[in-house]
Amino acid sequence: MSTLTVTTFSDSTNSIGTSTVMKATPKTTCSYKGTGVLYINDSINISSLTDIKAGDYRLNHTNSFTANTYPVVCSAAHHQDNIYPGLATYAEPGPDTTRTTATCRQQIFQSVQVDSPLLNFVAAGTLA
Amino acid sequence: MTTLYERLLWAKQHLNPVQSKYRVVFEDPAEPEAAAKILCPDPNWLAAALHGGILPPVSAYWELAKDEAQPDFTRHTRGHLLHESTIDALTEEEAIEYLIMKDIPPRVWADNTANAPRFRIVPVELIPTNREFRGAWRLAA
Repeated sequence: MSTLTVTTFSDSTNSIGTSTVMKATPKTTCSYKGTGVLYINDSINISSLTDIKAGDYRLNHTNSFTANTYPVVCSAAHHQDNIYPGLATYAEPGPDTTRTTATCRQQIFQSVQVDSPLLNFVAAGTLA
Repeated sequence: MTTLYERLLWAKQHLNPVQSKYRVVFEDPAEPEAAAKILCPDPNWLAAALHGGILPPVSAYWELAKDEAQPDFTRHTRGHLLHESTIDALTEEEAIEYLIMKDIPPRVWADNTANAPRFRIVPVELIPTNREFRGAWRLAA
C-alpha cells in the first residue's frame, strides 16, 4: 500500500487544504433497520445502537468527536404500499440536548414517533 | 502510531462483520417510567473486538467522559487516549461486557445498591419484535 502525502489540492484557479477536506469527510455512517429487532446493515465508526423507544435511537461512536457540535445528516423511510416516502427526521441537539462527543440520537416522526424499516445517519467533523 | 479511526478503517476493509447473537436489555434509573432499552452491538465493531489490536482500553472512554462532564468543557484535549494503546482479542461475551461499560451509563451497570438487576445480556431471539408488547416490558427481579 502506498501513501500520498499532500497538504493542498489545487488546480489552476482553486486550492483547498487537506485538513479542510478531512474535516468535511463523513466520519460516522450507519444504515440500519428500526422495525422489529434493531439490525445494523452497514456502518463506519459505530460501536452500538440503542433502541430507546419507537422512532428513537441512540448511535454510539467508536472514535469520539472532538466537540459535540459536529454536523449530522439523517434520513428515514416508511414502508407504505411498496413505496418508501421519507419521514421527518431529527438529530440532536434540539429541545432535548443529550448529544455528546460519543453519542447522538436520531428520532423519526410521522405525526408521532414511529419506527422505520430503513434509517441512515452520517456525521462529519473532527475526531478526538 | 496509528489512530483509532485508521485502525477501524483497516478493520472495515479486512474483517468480515460479525452479527452478535446477543443484545443487552437495560433500564435507566434516571427514567423509571421509560420502557426497557435495547443495545445492539455493531457488526464491524464486534469484528474488530474479536480480532484484537484495534480498540482502546475502555478506561480511555471513561476519561474522555469525565472531561466532557466538566462545566467548562468545549473540546477534547486528551484524544490521544483513544489512539496510543490497544487491547487484545476479546471473546464475544467479553466484547459485550466492554460495550456495556462503554455505551451504557454507569448508573445502570455500576450501582450495587439496586435491589433488582438493571440490565441483562440476552440472546437476540428472546427480544420481542412487537413494539407494543416491548413498550410495556420490564426486567424481572
